[in-house]
Amino acid sequence: MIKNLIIRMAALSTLILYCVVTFPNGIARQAPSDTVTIDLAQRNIDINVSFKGAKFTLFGVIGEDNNTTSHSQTSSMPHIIAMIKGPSKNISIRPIEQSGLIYIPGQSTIIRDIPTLYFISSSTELSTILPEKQQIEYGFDLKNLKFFLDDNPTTYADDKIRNAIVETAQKDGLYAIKAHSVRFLENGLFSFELSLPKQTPVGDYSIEVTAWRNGTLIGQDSAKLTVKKTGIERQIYEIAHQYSFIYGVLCVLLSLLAGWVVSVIFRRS
Amino acid sequence: MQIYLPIAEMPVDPFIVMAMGGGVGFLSGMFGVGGGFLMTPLLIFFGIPAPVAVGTEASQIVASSVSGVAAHLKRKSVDFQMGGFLVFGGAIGALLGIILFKYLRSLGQIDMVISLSYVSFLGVIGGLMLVESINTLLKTKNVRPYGSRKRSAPWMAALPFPMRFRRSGLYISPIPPIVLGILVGILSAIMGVGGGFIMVPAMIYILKMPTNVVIGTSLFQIIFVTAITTVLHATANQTVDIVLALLLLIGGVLGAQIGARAGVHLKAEYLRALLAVLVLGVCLRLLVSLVSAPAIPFIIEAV
Repeated sequence: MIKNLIIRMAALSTLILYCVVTFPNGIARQAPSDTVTIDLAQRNIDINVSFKGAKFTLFGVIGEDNNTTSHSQTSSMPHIIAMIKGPSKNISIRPIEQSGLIYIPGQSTIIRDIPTLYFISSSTELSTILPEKQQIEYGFDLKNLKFFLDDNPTTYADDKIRNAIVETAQKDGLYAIKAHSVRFLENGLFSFELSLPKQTPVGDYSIEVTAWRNGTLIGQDSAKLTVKKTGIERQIYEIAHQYSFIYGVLCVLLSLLAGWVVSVIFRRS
Repeated sequence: MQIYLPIAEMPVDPFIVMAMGGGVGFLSGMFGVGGGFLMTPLLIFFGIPAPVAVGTEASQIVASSVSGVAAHLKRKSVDFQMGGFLVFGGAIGALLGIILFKYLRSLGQIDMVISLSYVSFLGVIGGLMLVESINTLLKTKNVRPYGSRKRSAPWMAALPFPMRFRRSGLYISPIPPIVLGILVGILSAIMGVGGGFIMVPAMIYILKMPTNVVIGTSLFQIIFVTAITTVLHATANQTVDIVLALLLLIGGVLGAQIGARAGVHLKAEYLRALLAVLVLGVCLRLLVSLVSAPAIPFIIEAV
């Protein structure tokens, strides 16, 4: 049963996502299983990212019961965790091994369906929200993500490979845990900033927002985010990949033209 | 200020890139060399992915060679007949080189092969140049002028289809120039060079072409072969970054003009010794990165 919702919209950024988190007043219900529903007002978001990356703020509201004055249980706000995943792709990873005098890339291992971006934003330290075992189970622990091998879909990549992938992505700003980045504003309004780095891949992203109390999941909902890249750089990239022969010919013609213009300029001077 | 390179997929400061083009342009203007064999390693040191450095440099060489060949066309110092056979071989070589490049890339070994090719070629050529210029500096007499023996080796005329190359004054089979073209074409595709540093000595010492047509004919063939290489790289590997090429070109032409003027004031023997040291320096730098343990012991790529 859904009570009143207070929805606030703050136009701090180019794009706003409502995360409307509602939950019933705890008094009337049996305390342990106070499941709530999260309702996202906007489920499909398009965003254009320039090569510098993009920043925007997502907003949500936790509903409060205006009819009751007693807030014995709601005095403790639930914690919120938002998980943002980029489009998945297969990757190959090769260790660089010493062979004689020089270092050369060794045998490649193909890993299936690696999220290209992986952000965990939370209202406080994850360790105070839920136990470690559950953090792993829900994929909130970057050190314990499970990546599957392509040639043997039931086997995980070993720790060394997993750590290499995660650490590389962390360096590029593509994987991150941001505790305390979900902030509660007044009247149950909360927000978190999503800063997509310059390497942000294009494609479909998923945003899953979960609410937790006493280590228990009490509500969740998700939204979709489509990232497109804009700008002349992106157009050149698309042309170079889609019409690669024509692009190559254009490159040569442009080079011939440039070389000719230069020779004319310097002949005069 | 930053510009995003669409194919290399990285932001760069355009003035730094132009300065790199200018630096290599200065050296190539001063020494009278193409500069591809210096530019490609420099781009790799700068952080441009090696395949993109190679593909892009090919298109930049097209531009710089066009501005160079104009003067030679005016002086009629281009042997088009010889150039045609060199280009024919070069096209075959470029195609073979691209096939090899694509195959090595799929194995994930292309970066290593590019570096190794540079180390071996720069090492041999830089070493030979250094020895020669030191000899010249020590005993200035006993200098053998280029192409002192005018006649080509008899076996070249004995090969099938011998013909007269009027502009070069040769009577040889077209097979040696075609084979030479193939070899240089392969190098051009894998290393992102024009190949003048192989072509010019080979024309002088092996084909015995007169020196006055060597540079013009070599530039003529370089334009065609690097143009073919550019199109092939763009089509097969999508590694030609036109934004990067144009930035390098702007710096390169300015640098080449300044370098050509600076070169006039230096003695040819000193120039050659300096170039040899430079070539060996680049070779050493590449060798160091090949033999030292990488900072990140993994290569991760999307497949």
